[in-house]
Amino acid sequence: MIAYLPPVLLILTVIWPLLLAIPLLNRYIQNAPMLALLPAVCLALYPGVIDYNVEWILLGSGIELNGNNRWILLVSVMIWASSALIDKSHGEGFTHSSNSSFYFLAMGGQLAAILSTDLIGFFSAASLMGYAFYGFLNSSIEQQYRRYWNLYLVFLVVADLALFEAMIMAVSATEITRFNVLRWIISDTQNAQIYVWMTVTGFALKAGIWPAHRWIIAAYTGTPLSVKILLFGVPLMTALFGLLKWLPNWDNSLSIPGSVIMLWGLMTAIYALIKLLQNRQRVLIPLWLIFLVSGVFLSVIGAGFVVTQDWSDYKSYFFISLSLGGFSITALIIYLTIGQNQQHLSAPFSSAGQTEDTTQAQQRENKVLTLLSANYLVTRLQYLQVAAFQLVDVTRQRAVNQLNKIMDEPGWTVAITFFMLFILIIVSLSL
Amino acid sequence: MIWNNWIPLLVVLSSLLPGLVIFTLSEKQWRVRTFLNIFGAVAKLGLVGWMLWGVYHEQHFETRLALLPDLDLVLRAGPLALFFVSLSTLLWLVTTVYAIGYLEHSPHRSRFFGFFSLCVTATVGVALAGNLITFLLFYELLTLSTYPLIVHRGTEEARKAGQSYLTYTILGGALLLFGTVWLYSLVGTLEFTPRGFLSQVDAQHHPTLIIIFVLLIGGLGVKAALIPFNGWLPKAMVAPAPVSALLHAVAVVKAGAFGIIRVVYDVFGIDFAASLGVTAPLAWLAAATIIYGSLRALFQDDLKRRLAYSTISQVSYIALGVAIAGPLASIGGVVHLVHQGVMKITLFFCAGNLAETLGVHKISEMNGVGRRMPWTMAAFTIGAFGMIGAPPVAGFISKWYIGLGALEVDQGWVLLVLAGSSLLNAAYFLPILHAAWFRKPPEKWPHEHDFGRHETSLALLIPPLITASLALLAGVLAMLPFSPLEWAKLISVREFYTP
Repeated sequence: MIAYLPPVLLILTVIWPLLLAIPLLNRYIQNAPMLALLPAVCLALYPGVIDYNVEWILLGSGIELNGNNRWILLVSVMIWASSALIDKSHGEGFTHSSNSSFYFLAMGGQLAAILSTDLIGFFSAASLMGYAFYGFLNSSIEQQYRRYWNLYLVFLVVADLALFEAMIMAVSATEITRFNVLRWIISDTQNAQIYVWMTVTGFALKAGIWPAHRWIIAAYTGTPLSVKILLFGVPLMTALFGLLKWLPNWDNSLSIPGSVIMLWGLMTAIYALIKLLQNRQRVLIPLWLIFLVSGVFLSVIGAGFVVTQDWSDYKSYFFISLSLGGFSITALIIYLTIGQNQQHLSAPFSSAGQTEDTTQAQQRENKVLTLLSANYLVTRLQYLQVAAFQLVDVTRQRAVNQLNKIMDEPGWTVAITFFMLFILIIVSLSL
Repeated sequence: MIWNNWIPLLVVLSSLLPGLVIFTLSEKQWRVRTFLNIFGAVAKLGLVGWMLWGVYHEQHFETRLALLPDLDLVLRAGPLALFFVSLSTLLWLVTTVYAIGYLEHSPHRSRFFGFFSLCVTATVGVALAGNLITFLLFYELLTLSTYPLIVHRGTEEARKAGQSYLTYTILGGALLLFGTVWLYSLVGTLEFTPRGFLSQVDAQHHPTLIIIFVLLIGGLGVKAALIPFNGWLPKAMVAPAPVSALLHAVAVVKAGAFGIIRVVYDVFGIDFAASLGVTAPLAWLAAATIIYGSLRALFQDDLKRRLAYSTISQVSYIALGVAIAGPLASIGGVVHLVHQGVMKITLFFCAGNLAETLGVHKISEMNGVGRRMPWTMAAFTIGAFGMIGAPPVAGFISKWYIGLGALEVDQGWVLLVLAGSSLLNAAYFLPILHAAWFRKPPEKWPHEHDFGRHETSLALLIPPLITASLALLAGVLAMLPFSPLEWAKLISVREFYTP
């Protein structure tokens, strides 16, 4: 009997949130978002590796918990739970609105993607997550940002097409789609390069990597805190996780795509760095940081195609890095945003600005802090925050003053973007 | 077993006899009519279930009646025949329930349901036909029995649509007849045979066989809506929603596509057809139709017309999969026969629900309709995502196998067609979903009917929910024994390719 428990837990982790997507269930169950995460929490804390292959699901899919995805699962659960708690305390109510089905579908999709053992399983789950997340966020985003948010839908469609083609290229006539055999079935084929291009392009679009990043800015700026957290924790983290899963340890060096991808990542990082230095809104710091990290991440993956041995040796560390990155960014967003209303969010940061908390915002903050059981930690962090920002502010101000001389003129940002694209194209062609 | 010789005939009679009785009933005898409809559909389903089990275990089901000297009327239940019969039988039952709800207060219901039953009889006959002459007979019966359904409303527009339909399909029938007679005069047999029966024909007759192939495909291409023979299909959208569902998902269009499979695999044989060089042009024609249908759909504001052009595009996946000439692609093409059926019927049921409940016919009127009719639009969403090819809905499985099959035989260009078509499908379906779910509903719908606590009548609501669930299950449980995919694999092994 006990032997059946781990696989049941594995299945419940995926199925239970999907069942809660049925409006009749989620409307009448108290704390449905938390309940939806319960099997996932138990699973993440289960000591040991579990796998369950279901030959008749899709084209023979499976789910498993291993050393790599356990951390991602744990961080994902924390992010969903934080979002639900903040939503509850702020009274935003998305988890009980008419769009709650999208919320649970996105949750189920992400958990399934994290646990999946094959290309098609991951693709299906990530697609479900993506479209459901689009629907969910569409109801939360402010009207003026919705136009840009719709870009996400366009990118999602294009990304899915690229990934579909990549999958077909990968398995060709073998019909085997397991991640653990991907290396053997694709490394030596002539389709390998196309597969890499399609995969990187697909996931880059899904992760909002420069220059397909406008939708993230819109969604980040135009949504409440509880949704902001999910923006990084759901589509972006899953896309980067997918990139790692879909790119096997290569036997042969793929120097041309590797170099271009490396350069692409560097461009993204440089772009993010410039924006970070230009940045005048405290709340936008995580946004540029995440672009910076994504860029570096992409560069390292590109480098991995050039120096294949190092990639094989160090790839497993990336899963933990991604988990830590996801956790840190989420913590940073909560930290920077908590207790501030929307108007306050867009105000320039200054030491004076930090003391202007309203009573209402303070009440909300206290409620959240109580819920998160982190009163002490956050109080300490608030002291640190003031000191850290004063230090950052001085350093940033110096850099910005220099940069502003060049960058403040209209059109410069666009010009630099095009210039970077131009370099990217030239380098690609020359390779 | 002696019983096995009669079951194919019983399957045909199970809708023919109730249909003939229904013609004699008055409008007031709705209870008898409903009983006959449902009884016929359930009985047919039971018989088909029996045959499915038997054929899976390699039993033989064949009815053979003398028709002309040396030409028999043959009804044979092989794996491919049963595949189509199962689809039409199951969807006929669902469509009958839907039609009963849809036409609740309409006149001429006995006439409608009589022809409705005849139409399904003809479809089942087409599916079970064991030779080309039996196929041709039922194919023509299908034309004649669907015409009264298209003109059922009796309006001027309906009559014009009917005329257009008749012109196209009779022309197609003539081409098919000409090709069939020529073929018979050349080889002396018309018996469908696994892997074809023409490979032994003398090489000097090969040019004649190419012409016959063109005639047969031309005749079948009219119903399968291949370009340039698809003008009738968007016009026929004037018919009531259950008829549209029947035309697009169960009967007419599918009969054409099924006929193409029969001609390519059971008359010519795929290897012989490929050696004649006729499969490649067929694949190009199908690819062109896929893109053409999607492009035309993009610019339609009328929901049913958009769905009609979508059918033109989607049905050609079947022809494309068949014409690529590889085992995996043939699985993709054949399985799409069922997958497209369940997805498209869902979409037409939903379009009918919107028209009947809210008076919504145009896409521009669909703002916020998801809030007013969430279950209907949930079903529509599943159908639309299936058409786009998004997993885990059934459409993904078809495209996956067609794509894999194309690479298997070095036809990489097919991947571009699949990608282009999916992109166009997304471009014409996602705006509908966006408007329905995320835009504000109007204060007043064009012609709203109140159905109490449900969003619409249960007879209209349950069928699309069933078919949407089937579309989802056919994708999620694709590898389950007896799933459409597994059955398509069985067909490929037993009938198309030498293992």
